[in-house]
Parts: sequence; structure tokens; C-alpha cells
Amino acid sequence: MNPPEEHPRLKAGRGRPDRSAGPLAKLLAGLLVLFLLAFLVVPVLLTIGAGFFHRGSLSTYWIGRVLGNEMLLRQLVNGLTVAAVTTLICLAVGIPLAVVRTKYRFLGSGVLGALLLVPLILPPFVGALSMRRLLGQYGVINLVLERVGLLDPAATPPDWLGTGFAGVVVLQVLHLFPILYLNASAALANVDPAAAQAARNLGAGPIRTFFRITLPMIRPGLFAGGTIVFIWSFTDIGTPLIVGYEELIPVTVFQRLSEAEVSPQTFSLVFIMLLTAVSLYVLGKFVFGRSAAAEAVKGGVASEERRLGLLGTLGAWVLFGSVIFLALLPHVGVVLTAISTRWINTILPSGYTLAHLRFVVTKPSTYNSILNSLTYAGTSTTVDIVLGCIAAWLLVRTRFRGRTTLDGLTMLPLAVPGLILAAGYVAMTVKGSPLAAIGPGRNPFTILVIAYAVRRLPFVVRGVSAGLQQVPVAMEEAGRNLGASRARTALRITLPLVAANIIAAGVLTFAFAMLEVSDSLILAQEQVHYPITKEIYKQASSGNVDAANIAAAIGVYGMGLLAGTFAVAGALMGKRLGAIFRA
Amino acid sequence: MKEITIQNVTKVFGAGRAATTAVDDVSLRVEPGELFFLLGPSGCGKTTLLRIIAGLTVPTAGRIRLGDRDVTDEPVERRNTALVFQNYALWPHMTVQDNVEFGPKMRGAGRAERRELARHNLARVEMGTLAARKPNQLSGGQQQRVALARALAARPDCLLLDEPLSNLDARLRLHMRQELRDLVKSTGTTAVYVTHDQKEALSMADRIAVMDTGRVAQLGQPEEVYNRPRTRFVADFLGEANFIDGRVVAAKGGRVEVDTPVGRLPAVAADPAPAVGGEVTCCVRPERIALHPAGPPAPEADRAALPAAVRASVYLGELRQYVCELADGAQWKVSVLAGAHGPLPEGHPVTLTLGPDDIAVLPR
Repeated sequence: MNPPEEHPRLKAGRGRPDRSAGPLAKLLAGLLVLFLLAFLVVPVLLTIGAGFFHRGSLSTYWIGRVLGNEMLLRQLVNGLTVAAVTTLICLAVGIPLAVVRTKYRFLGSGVLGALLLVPLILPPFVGALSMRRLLGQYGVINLVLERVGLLDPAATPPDWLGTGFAGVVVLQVLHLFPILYLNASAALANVDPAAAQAARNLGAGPIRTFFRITLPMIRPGLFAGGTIVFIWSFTDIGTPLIVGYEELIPVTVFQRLSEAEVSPQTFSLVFIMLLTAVSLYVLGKFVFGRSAAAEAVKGGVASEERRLGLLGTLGAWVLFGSVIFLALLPHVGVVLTAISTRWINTILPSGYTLAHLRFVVTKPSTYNSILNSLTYAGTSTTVDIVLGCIAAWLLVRTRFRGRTTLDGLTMLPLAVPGLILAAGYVAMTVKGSPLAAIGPGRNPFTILVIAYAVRRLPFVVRGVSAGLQQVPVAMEEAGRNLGASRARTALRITLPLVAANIIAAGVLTFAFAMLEVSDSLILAQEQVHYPITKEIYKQASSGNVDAANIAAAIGVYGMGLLAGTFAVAGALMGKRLGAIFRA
Repeated sequence: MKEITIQNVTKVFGAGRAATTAVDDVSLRVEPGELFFLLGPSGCGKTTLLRIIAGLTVPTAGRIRLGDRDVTDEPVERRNTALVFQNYALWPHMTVQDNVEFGPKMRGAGRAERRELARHNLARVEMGTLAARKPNQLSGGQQQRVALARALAARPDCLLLDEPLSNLDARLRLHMRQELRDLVKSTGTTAVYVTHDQKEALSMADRIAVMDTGRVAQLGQPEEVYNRPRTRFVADFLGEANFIDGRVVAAKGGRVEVDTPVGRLPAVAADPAPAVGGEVTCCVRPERIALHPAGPPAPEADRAALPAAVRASVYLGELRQYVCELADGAQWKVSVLAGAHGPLPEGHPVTLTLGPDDIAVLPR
């Protein structure tokens, strides 16, 4: 007789948790989907819908026109190239930094790790202003090179920003690499150290171990960061506009949208752009997105951080220092611009003043814009945390019909450029429509808060989901089992365990809302309602002598506020300061 | 101290083609104060059944009663069961003290009462001095004790244990068996214990339900399920066994005689007794066979004597296990106390004798 066969029906696994959603979960999921349909799908459809009508009937005529247009196709390829190169450089910069930071302790590692994140808090288009001053033909870099004799003063100095392609990539990398660094750090911190130790034990060297074991295990984290960076750089308009590189689809879309009569071709262009971004996202999710370490247990084996010796510490300083130096150049440029009287053809400004900084806080319009931004960003962050936590909980902990829809909808904003969404909001709230009351024609508070909230929702959902996945369901089950209601379990057990993720996501969301460009430019139409970015844009393009200085001065206040936010969040988190940034 | 009644409980995961039946129409009654074991291989549905009792999994059909209370539709938190999780599920953001106080707190106990309950239960598991630690500062064994204290401090109607010893090292596991049993029995709480370790079940349980593919294959006291298995699966899962097929040729007074290729074997009839002429399998545990190395002993009524030859010998410390080849070529395992007679060389002729109590008859 044969031994009893394992019953084919019983591959169920050991007592898996029941995840079918209760009525409350279904209601919440329904409300979330409705909200996203109303303020994400409808505006996008309004914008791209026009591209599908030709002579009054549904048609692919305009799509064909776009695909047959060599210039537009070239712009599409350019955009993908910019995004791909940016993402690759960000990976190349972010991963080594994250590895060094998580594996080793060295003098100043905390400070250096925090400084790496500073680029995130600089409005990139203000950064672009100072990049021109730094890297332009008569910029600081060339002046320094001449001074040290590496550049012939007689020859025409090179323009480092070139046609603009390199300039855009450099700016994107300097602005976005922290996102990858954060994601890589978070992923590395969650990898069970035993996995790598097992590989070493079986004879793999440190390098083989990294590529064969660690890298595949942190792939979901890298994917998460990489997708954000890719789509961000693929759809950004601010940076290329300021740098002056116009061979990109978003720039063309922006320019055409600001024309008096918008051709349906523009809308089909938007559609193709969306389709590209969304399909890349989906493709990436299938290839890389499968999480290998979903069941990793938090607070299990403590990872061992090795203390670096003198030589190692120096090496780490050089690595971190050079990246920070490059990344902080634009910030330094902005600060110097804000406090300079004159800065032409000199390495450093030739005179300093506090007048610009004083001007900003004494003039109601600039002063108000800061208050406005704080209100908008604060409110939208609160909305995002509430919606994001609910969505993350539904997605990670429950199974219900339409789960995939909700998942897709909460991630969709990553693929939708703010520009398109803003245009959609304008269309949605035109005079006569039922939503006119919240339109930009009146007080744009509501629509701006919604715009900020919708666009940054993915960060909160992602960040909180990542945290939830690290909390074994058994932790919550134990709470319920000992008599705590769902709500109490959530409050007493789940919340403290994902608090770091929520705060991190909140801080990032707040920062991004403060720095938001496209919605702000389009939806805030009256001076009294201007957020900080629109005020900077207005000042910078005012044509005044001190335009750049005033714009930079507002930028300085913005950076100061964000730095303050990070500091407060850090104080709240105490020792876990590092955990804040692991969204 | 309440009894647990499981009535026709079925759990199907998934739907359509992907549907898997984890628990298949199981009915059981766990007596008040009993230490009841669900024993089975992985995937047999034992953990799912435990989670259904706790309310963490909703059964597809069937009812669960705790005492007089039908709790099938009650949410987890109102059932007043306390589950000790396999990985303990201690909350890393709370101290040991806070972990243990959680249950009483949720049940509305005041500060002083919570303190006292935590102190008492931590002392009970000898963890009183580590109350201020965080769980990740504890060893596996210590975490296990805290998990137990946390469950007991909730003063549950029934204690549910999901392979609580499986993450401990072997020595500690052996040590904890007796300790855990004494502890649970001293509280008087009805307890359901899930394990795949048959030694654990045999040494700790009041009663055992052996589960196979979602059903209860056999229910009984440890000695009963070990010595009188009803199915080959149960016989195999609970320990080593030799099997031989045969046909019932006589049945009388609770005894049967079975004709097998190696001769006629007497056996205690199973319940229900197999009919004369029925095809059965005889099951013999290796330690129930007497081995005679020096020629056949004097014949005894009701005791079969089978000639065999030693084929292999394995030293196990307290025992020596021989593999003996019988007349029909079947190889039987025979365990004898090591040192009873010197190691027998391969090919050494022996006689194996066994009585009706040593043989269980299984339907074929």
C-alpha cells in the first residue's frame, strides 16, 4: 500500500485569515471609489474626451494624427529617454547611498542621511533658476574653472546645460534621487539579515550576495521608488520650461493648452501620454511588483550595523558629501540670490542685503501666499492621511469586489500629470456647472485642496500600505482575540506600528503640496488666493530688476517652513527620525 | 471553564474551481476543563478549525458554542477565547507588562486589577522580573511564556494554542510540554491545542482528535488512538507501525482471527467488529512485538509466533530497532530495549511473538 496521498483540496495553507470585507469596509471602499471617480477620472475624461471626437462623432482620427506626427513621436521618445536616464541615474546614486547608510554606522551618518533629503524640499523650478546661474555659459562653475585655470577665458565657455536635455536630467536627478534613496533604505531595512547571511554562509561573496539575494529582495521597494521617479520626470513641465528644453510632450501640451483655441489633437496627445505612463506602470507592476518579502516580520532579528573605521568613515563622507554638495548647489544658489544685491559674472554675489527677505514678510501679497499655502497644504495633507489610511487598510487587509479598481484608482494620480488634472478641474467647474461654486472663479480653496489631495494620495497609500504589510495580521488578531473591537485594535495596535509610515507619508505629502506647481498656476486665479508657488512664478516672471531675488526670497521662506516641518516631525518621532523618511 | 461544542462545521476557501475545503463537516465536543488536542499534518484543517473557534475565520457552515452560548455570529472580541499564536504575535511597541495587561484592559478591568492580573500571570510563567522589557529583548522561550501569560491574564472561557512550542528548540520543547500541561490544568481552563507533533499530543492531551483532509479521522484518549487506530492514516501518523493484509476467518467474544500470508494472527476486534470473511489490515507497533533470539519459545494459546531473520539494526539510545524479514518477505520493524540482548547480526534467525492486544485491525 502507498502512503496516504496529500489531499488535493487541502492546499489551502495553514489557517489563512478571512479577509472578506464587512459592510463598513464595503461602504468606505465605495465612497473612496466615488470620490476618485468624481475628482480624478471625470476631470481626466473631460480633458482627453475631446480627443476622441471628430466632426461630432466618436473617432480615432486625432489619435492617428498624433501617431503620424514625427515631431510629436520624437518628443514622446525624448520624454521616455529623459525619464529612463533620470531613473537609472537615481538608482545608481540612491542604492549605494542607501546600502552604506543601512549597513554601516559612522560618525555623522545621521546628519548626512538627513541632509540627503534636503533636495526634496526645494521647489524644482526655483532650483532651475539658480541652476542657470550655476551651470550656464557664464555661470559660477565656468567662472570657477577659469579661476583655477581649467578653462581658457578667451574661448567661448561651454554651456553645461547644453540643448537642455542634460539640464533637465541633472535637475530631475538632483530633485528626485532622495525618493529612490528613501525607498531603497526602507526596503533594505526590512530585509531579514539572515537572508544575506545565509548566502554568505553558502559561499557567495558580498557582491554576489548583494546582486543575487539583497537586490531581488528589495526589488519591490526599488520598483516603488523607480515608478514615481520615472513618471514624475516623464510628466514634469516646470523644469523643462525654466531650462528651456521644449522637445518634450508635456511642454507641447502645456503650450497648446494655453492657446486660445485648443485643437482636439492636443487632447489626444494627452491621452497618449497618459496611456504611456499608465501602461509602463502596469508593465512594471507585473514584472517587478511581485513582493517577495511581504510576510517579513518587523522587530524580529536585529540587523547588525557595522561601525566603520577611519578609512571607511572618510570614504562614506566623500560619497555622501559629494552627492550632498551637488544636490545642495541649487539651494545655496537660491539662498544667495535671495540675499544678494548684485550677482553678475562673479563667483559669489558682489553685495548682500536682507531687503528681499524683509520685503516678502512686509508685503501682504507675498506674506499671504505663504499663509495660503500653509492652509492649502495643511488641509490637503489631513485629507490625504485620512483617505490614504483607509485605502491602505482596505487594500492590504481586506478582499472585496472592486479591490483592483480601488488599487488602480489610488495609484492613477502617479500617472496623471497635474497639468491635465488641473485643466479637467477647470472644465468641471465652469460657470453653469453644478460644481461652479468651488471653481477657481470663486475661492479656489476647495478645488485646490482636492487637487493637492488627489495628486499626493498615492504617496500616503503606498507609504501606509508598506507599513501595514510589515505588521503581521496575527498582531491585530491577537488584539481582537483579547477583546478589543476593530476600532480599538486599529488605534492601539495597528496605528502605533505604522505611525512612522503615516508621519513620513504626511510630511512628504505636505512638502509636495507646498511645492505643487501646475494645479497652483492654473487653479489659483486671484492674487489673494495665490499659493506660494504661484507667487514665486509671478514674481519671477514680473520682469522687475529684483524679480529673481524676490522669487528666491519667497523660496527661502518656503524651504524654511518645510525644514521646520521635518524638524517637528523628527522631534515627535524621537530616535526614529530616520524612519520618518521611509515612505 | 466551559465546554466547546463544534457542530457540523465546514470551511471552504475560495469559490468555483479554486475552492478548497479546509474543514469538512466536523462535529466535536470539548469537555469543560479538558486539554483537547487537534493533531494532524499540515494542511489538515486543524489551524483553520482553531481559528473558527476563536472567530478569526468565519465557517462556511456549522455552529460553534461556548458553554450555553452560540458564538457563531459573535465577533472575535466578544468570544472571550484567548489564542496563543504560533509566532506569539507579541506587540513590539508595548512592554511585556502592557502586552499582558491588554486583555484585562479590554474587558474593562481597573488599573489595580490589571496590575495584579499581569503580576500574577507573569509570575506564573516565571517572567515577573522581565515585565519592563520589550518583546524583541526576549528569547524565543521567554516570548512564548509572555504569550501564554498574556492569554491567561484575559481570564478566557477557553484557551486556544496554535503550535505554541513549535518555535522552541528541542530540549526546551520537551521541558515545556509538562510545564505547559501543568500550567493549563492548574488554571482549569478548557483548552484546545493544535499541533502536528504526535509526541506532544500523546504526552500532553486529555483527548486527541486526529485530523486528516479536513475531517476528524479518529477521536480518543492518547493510548486509545495510539494502540487502536481506526485507519491506516491514524496508525501511520501517530508513530511507527507494521502493516499486513489479511482476511477475517473467525470472530468471537470481541476477538477475531485473521489469516495473513505469515500465518494466523489473533486480534482484539475493532468497533464495529469486522465480519467473517472481511478483508482487513493488521497493524502492529514495533515495540509491541516480543523478539526471541534463541529459538522459538514455548507455544502459548492466543499468541502468534512468527519465524523471521534480522535484516538490519539501528541503535536509538534507549531502544534498538531491528528490521526483521518475515516468511513472506515483508520487513517489520521491531523495537527492543537496548541491552536486552546484544546486537544481533544480520541474518540471525529470530521468532517474533505477539498477542491479540498488540494487534489493531483496520478496515481495508
